[in-house]
Amino acid sequence: MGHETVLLKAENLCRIDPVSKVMLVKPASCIIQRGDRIVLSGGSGSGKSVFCRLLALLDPPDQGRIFFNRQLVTQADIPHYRSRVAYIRQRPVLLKGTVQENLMFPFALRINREHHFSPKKITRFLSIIDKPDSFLQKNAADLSGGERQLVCLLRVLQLDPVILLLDEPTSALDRNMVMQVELLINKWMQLHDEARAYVWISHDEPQKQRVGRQVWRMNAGVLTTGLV
Amino acid sequence: MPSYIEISYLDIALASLLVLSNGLISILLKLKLEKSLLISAVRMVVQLLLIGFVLKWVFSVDQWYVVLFIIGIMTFIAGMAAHNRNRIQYGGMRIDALVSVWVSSWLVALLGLVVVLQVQPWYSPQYVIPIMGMILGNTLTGVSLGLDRITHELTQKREQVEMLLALGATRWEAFKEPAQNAVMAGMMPTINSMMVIGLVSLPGMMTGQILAGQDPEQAIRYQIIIMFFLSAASSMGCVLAVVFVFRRLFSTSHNFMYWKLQEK
Repeated sequence: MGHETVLLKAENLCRIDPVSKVMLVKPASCIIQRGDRIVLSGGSGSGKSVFCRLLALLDPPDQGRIFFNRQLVTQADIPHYRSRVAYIRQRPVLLKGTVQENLMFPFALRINREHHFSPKKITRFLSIIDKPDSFLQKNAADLSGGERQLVCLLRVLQLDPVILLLDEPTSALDRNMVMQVELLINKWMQLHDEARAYVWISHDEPQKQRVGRQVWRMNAGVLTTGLV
Repeated sequence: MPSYIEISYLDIALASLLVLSNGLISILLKLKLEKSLLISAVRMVVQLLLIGFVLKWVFSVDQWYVVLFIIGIMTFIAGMAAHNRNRIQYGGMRIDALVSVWVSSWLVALLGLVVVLQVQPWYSPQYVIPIMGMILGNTLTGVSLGLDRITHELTQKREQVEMLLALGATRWEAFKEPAQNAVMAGMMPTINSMMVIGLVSLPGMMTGQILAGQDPEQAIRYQIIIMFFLSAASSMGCVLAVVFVFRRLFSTSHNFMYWKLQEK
C-alpha cells in the first residue's frame, strides 16, 4: 500500500450533540484510498449520517483531524476541502430555476471562480443516464424526486470532486431511479480510472452488494472499518 | 399666548366618551374585548400623563445627563422589545437586538441633531427626546423585522444553506440570500411609508407642528429630514442585527450552527 494511494485520513473524529451533550460519534479513524467503494452501514440513529457529515466537515468535529492528500485540513481550507470531498444529502435541494441554472450556479461561488460551466461535460453525463439535452431546460420545480437527485449529482460531479460522501442518496427513490444513480456514479468512477472514491450510506442489502467493495459499520457511535 | 386651542381635562373626558363606542361594538358583537379595551385605554392615559410629568421635569432641569439617562432608558426598552417579538431565538439574541438598536439609533441621532439640525446645546430636550423617540420606534421595527425574518429564513432554508456549504461556498456565500431577504423585510416598512407619505397619511410630527401654529413649509422640511433619519436608522439597525446573527450562527470553520436556533 503506497502512501500516494491514500486520499483521506481521519484521526479520532468525534462529535458530541451540542444540545443534549450525548456523544453521537465516538473517536473514529479511517483511511480512504483511490478506488475505494465503501458502504457505510448501521441501524438508524447509529451515527452514520453524523459521521458522514463529520467527514465533510459540515458539522464541526469536537475532536480529531483530517488529512486530505497528506495535508492537514485547516479552517481556511474548509471550502476547498468541501468542494473536493463532496457530501450528497438524502433529500436533494435545488434552487429556483431551470436544471441548467442549477448546474451553473456553483460556478458563481468563489471557490470555483477559475472554473467554467462546461455544457460538453454535462452532455456526456446526460448521455450516461439517457437524458436528452432538453432536460437542461426543464424547470427544477417540475422534476421528480429521482430527477432532482440526479441533478444534484451532476451539479457535484461536474466540479470533479475526489471523494463522494453519499448519505442515503437513493433511499427515497424508485427502483429505476436507484439504478440510474448507481450507474452514473459507477461510470464516474470508471471515467477517472478508479482514482476517485466514495463512501455510500445505504440500508438496502442488494444495493450494498452492488456498490460496496468494503463495508464500514457504525454501531452506537462506534465505527469499525475493514474489508468485506 | 399660544396660537392653538388648549385642552382641558374636561375636553379629555368628553373625548373619552368616544371609546365607549368601541365598548358598545364589542358588547353587541360579543367580541369580549371590553376588558382589554378598558385596560388599554386606561394604560394609554396613565402612561402618557406620566411621561408628561417626566418630560416637564426633564425640560425644567435641562441637564445633559438627565437627557442621556432618559434616552438611555428609551433605547433599552426599544432594544428589549425588538428581541421579545421574535418566536425563533438563539443565545445572545437579546444583546444583539439591544446593540443593533442602540448603535444605529444613537449614531443617526448624533449625525442628525449635531450635524444637520445643529441643535444648541446638543442635549436640548425639546429636540433630542421627541426625535430620539421617533428614531427608536422605527429602528425597533427594522431590527425586529430583520431578526424575525433572518431566523425564519435560516430555519426554513437550513438544507439550502448546508447544500451551499457542502459545495464549497464560504459561510458568507451560504448566508447571503437569507440575509438579503431579511434586510429587505426590515427596510420595507420605511420604504412603503416614504412612498405614500403625504398622499395617504400625514405624519404625526408634522401634523403636530401645524396644529401648534407653525409654518407648514417648515413643518414639512422637518418631516423630510426626520424621514431620512428614520430610514437610515432602521436600515442600519436591520443590517447590524443580520450581521450579528451571522456571527452567532456561522463559525469561522464555515459551519452553520443550526442547533442554536430554537423556537420559543
